[in-house]
Amino acid sequence: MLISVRDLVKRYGNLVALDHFSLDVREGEILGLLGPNGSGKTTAINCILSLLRYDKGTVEIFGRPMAPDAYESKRDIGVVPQNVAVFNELTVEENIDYFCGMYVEDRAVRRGLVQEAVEFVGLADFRRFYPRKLSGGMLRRLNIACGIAHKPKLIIMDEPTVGVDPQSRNSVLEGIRKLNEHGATVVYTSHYMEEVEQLCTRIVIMDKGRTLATGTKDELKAMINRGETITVEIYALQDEDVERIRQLPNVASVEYDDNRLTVRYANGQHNLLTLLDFLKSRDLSFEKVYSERPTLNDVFLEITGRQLRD
Amino acid sequence: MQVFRAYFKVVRASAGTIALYMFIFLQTAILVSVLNPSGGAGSFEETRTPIAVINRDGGAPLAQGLADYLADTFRLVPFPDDPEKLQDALFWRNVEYIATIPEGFSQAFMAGEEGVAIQKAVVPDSTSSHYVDLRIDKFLNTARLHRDFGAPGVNAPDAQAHLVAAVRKDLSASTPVTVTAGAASDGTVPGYSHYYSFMSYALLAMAMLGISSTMMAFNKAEVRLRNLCTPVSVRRMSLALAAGHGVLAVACWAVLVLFSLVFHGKALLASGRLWLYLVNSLTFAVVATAIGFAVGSFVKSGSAQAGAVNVIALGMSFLSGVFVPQSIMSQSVLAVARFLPAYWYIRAHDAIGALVGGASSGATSVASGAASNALGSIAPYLLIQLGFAAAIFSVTLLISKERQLSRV
Ligand SMILES: Nc1ncnc2c1ncn2[C@@H]1O[C@H](COP(=O)(O)OP(=O)(O)O)[C@@H](O)[C@H]1O
Ligand SMILES: [Mg+2]
Repeated sequence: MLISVRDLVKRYGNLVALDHFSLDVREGEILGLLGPNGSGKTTAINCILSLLRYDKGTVEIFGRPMAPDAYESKRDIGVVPQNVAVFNELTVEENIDYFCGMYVEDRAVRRGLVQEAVEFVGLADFRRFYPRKLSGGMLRRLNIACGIAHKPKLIIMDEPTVGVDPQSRNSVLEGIRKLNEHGATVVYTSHYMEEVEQLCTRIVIMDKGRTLATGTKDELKAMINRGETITVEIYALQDEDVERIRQLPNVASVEYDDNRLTVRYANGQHNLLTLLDFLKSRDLSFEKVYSERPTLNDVFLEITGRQLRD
Repeated sequence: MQVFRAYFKVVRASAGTIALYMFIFLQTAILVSVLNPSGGAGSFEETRTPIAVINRDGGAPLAQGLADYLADTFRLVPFPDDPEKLQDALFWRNVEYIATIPEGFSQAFMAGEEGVAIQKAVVPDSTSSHYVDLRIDKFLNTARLHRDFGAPGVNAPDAQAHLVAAVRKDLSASTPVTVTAGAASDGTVPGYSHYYSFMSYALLAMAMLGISSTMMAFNKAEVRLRNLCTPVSVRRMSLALAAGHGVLAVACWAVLVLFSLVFHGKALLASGRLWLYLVNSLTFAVVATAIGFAVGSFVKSGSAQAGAVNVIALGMSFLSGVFVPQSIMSQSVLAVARFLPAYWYIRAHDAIGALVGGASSGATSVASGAASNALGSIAPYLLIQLGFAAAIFSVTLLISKERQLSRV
């Protein structure tokens, strides 16, 4: 276990930001900490890193208790904070060199690492730029480079892609996967379920300072009693047809509104085929059909009764 | 080391503003030294009023004695007896005063005939010409006294020589007084004294600006938290920053000192007071560091910082007599200024200026034996400045620690 968090309680006055929060991070995985804004992800990360004092609980990293003066542990951790933390007075390259230099003393070694990090986040053409001249997305990428340049064993990223354009986001995610392949364990917080689903090998869903569910995305989806959702664009569907669809196998709910038929399935297989067969047998023509697998949002919805994204 | 190096990269960002303060200060310093040509005891020779004495009564010991006497105080510019050339010399101010001793002047004077007078031609509006008048009158009045009372017979062959000798003896007794009057009459405070006075303002502004800028950069919430994630301890971090502050303040000080030597090097070295000015200004650099530290701890935005630097540096300098002598400031202002460290810098500064005291023309240096004495006389002011610095540091540390605790 690389990180082991037990029963963390953190209060801000009357607000309980972490409510007996526990977490295990295994070596080699990309762990996604998924939760809506305000669910306590940043608070959890900051407590884990000993940046915040907490009221109760224990945190161990690399099998050692984590503390503000656990410098041995800190040496092997890379941190990408939620708020971009760079010096406006230093260039892109100097910023990366500064933070890398806090971990790596040797200048020659560092020079190589800084170059690698600059290229890793695709800022090679902006080495000598000052942060003020960078776009929001570039700043985020610089923030990431500052956190990972020294090749830490454990990388903790708190919503590193907020505000990054979709294209660079994909390259960032690709990069994180590469870091992981090279042996780094990654903790990744986000409120974007697609991102977490795409990237993480294991996911922890949290809300209101508590862990709601843990598992791979398939495990999580299996936890809820829900299969795919099929949407059909179809005109002038009769009420009796809607009623018949409701009787088809595995169907959990049917809606017909604005020429859109939405059929949610509880589970099972060949649902699309069955539905299409039915439509054909009734001689109903339709425009488009699409099928969606259940998402982590469905999981979140199932557990909390709320949407992950509001 | 990483933090220390980053410190100066961060300073680089405010280097432009620091240089601007330096530039404005140097401009002022140059202006002041042009307006107040570096007088000072050491370069006294050069400031003697240039005059010409046309002696048409050549050979007469009395006339020669007068010319010699004037040569003691003024710079005698040799001139041929050519009215046109003399007018030119006056016009171009090569000389400020031309005294012509007419033929037969000495004889007539010995005989008590006052009809034959020394003629003068002066540059208009010359203050020093009155002074030349005074000296000539003084010589002749003293000579008259000796002529009328007690001198050996006026008709004796070497009567004039005796008279001159007696007069010189009398006048030499009072020479120090008259020379002092001479030094004071053109009211020159040495240029380097102005420089080291104004310098406190520049030093304060520059050090405050640099130190508070870097502190703001390192104290920015995100950066502070990010630094806490690294294996560099808070203690090492603080030490590196403190070292940065120190080096920065000393660097500002050193550059200002360097320019003081460029502008006033000769006079400063001749005054023998350079090292006292150095000690005083270095002490004040410590004060500037403390104030910069406080501003950097409490100020959050760049505009607030610029405001604080201006208000504190300018305000304190005005109240403390950096720009105008304390001696002409109102007692109530000075009473308030006592609570400002710059006031004590200026007190020390003025004490250093007064050390040479009687300012005899030969006052070249504070003798080495008097060195400890000299330091002793400004030590209280230095200690008060250091006390201010220590107080500002401690209060700042206390308050920021308090804040830090209440934040989490
Ligand atoms: N410094 C603070 N003081 C008071 N409340 C805070 C503070 N920081 C966070 N909170 C509250 O704690 C909760 C969790 O916040 P946070 O950890 O930032 O959530 P997330 O990172 O998941 O968006 C939120 O309700 C937030 O308003
Ligand atoms: Mg957050």
